[in-house]
Amino acid sequence: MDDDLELLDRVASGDREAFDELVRKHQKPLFSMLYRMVSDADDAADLLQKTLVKAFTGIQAFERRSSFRTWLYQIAINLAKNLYRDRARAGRVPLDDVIIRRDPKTLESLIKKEARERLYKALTSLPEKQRLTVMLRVQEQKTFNEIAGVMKCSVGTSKANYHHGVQKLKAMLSDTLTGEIKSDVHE
Amino acid sequence: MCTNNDIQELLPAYLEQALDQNERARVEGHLSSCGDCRTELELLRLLAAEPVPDPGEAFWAAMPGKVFRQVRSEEQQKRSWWGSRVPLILTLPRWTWAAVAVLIVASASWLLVRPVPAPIARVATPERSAVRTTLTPADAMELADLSDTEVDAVDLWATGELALLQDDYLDIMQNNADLSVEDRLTELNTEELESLSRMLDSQNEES
Repeated sequence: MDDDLELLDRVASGDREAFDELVRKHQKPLFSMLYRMVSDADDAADLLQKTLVKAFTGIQAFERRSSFRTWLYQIAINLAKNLYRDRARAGRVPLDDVIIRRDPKTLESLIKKEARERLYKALTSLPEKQRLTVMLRVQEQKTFNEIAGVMKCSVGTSKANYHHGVQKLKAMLSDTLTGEIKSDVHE
Repeated sequence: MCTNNDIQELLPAYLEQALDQNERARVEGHLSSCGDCRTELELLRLLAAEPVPDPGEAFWAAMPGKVFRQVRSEEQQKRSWWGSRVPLILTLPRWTWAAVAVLIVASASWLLVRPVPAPIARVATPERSAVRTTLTPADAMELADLSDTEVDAVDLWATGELALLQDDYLDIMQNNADLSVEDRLTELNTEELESLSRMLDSQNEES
């Protein structure tokens, strides 16, 4: 049996330790995905807690046709969508500049910040499904099968969303991208 | 623009170093001659390099407890919402409901099968202290000594007795159609003959 399903059965019988174990297992990947969707650490933390609370209070709705992780991702994406849409409408670029703060005055840092802002704007300009697919595939390293499960679409559709999203990003960032690759990618 | 979707789909895995040797060689061979795919790989590297801040160990350690408390709180709120709207009786244990159901069924069954009491005739308060309900020959009385109520009671009784006699007479007449009138009359006892006589007299008077 799936480890998550076994833990869920124990949670249903009142096992607090199983509950904590499930939360610890999924909180970091969920936070990472939520952060990439909303680009704000505080919002991502808030959404993480809401996702987990909603999952456990509505656990009767989990039919076990998909994995528990997929179901969590579905809840997280739905909760993040509304917040993301509000941000996109406001034109806000809530980039977390924790890394830039380390050395804000160097040219390299400024270039990095500018590049990140352009990348963020390009990403936010994509249609929602394409942006989500590219993010899940490239930044969260999900397979197309997993993406199809999370987004409730076919594998073919998830691949098509990915291709279209990447092509649009390439077109928008063509003047930034040099097309140079290192001879050995596996560093 | 490159149209080799197979290679483009492998680029993220190539970046993650998740390809086997053969697939990696195939991708690298394609990259050496395709600028579009090299551009795409650079884009993917930029995307993947976007850092995710770490909220810290205290945040991760506290999250299970925070989630658990909020889940509990919401469940209790849900229960109290229902409790304030549903009568307390509905929260009773099952055995109580079973007992109530048995009581209802028993009551309904008793109401359906209980004996219905015969209607009790209302009797007006007699003017005299006592009213005779039965008459025997030894108790013959003067009609003038009886009250109106007692006279009515006697009349009612007599009418009933005569009706019974009439029914019996008719039965006899039907069952003994071959008997002559004389034969039938001889079957009557003295009392029946006197009653018959009185009846015939009263009918003659009416006619």
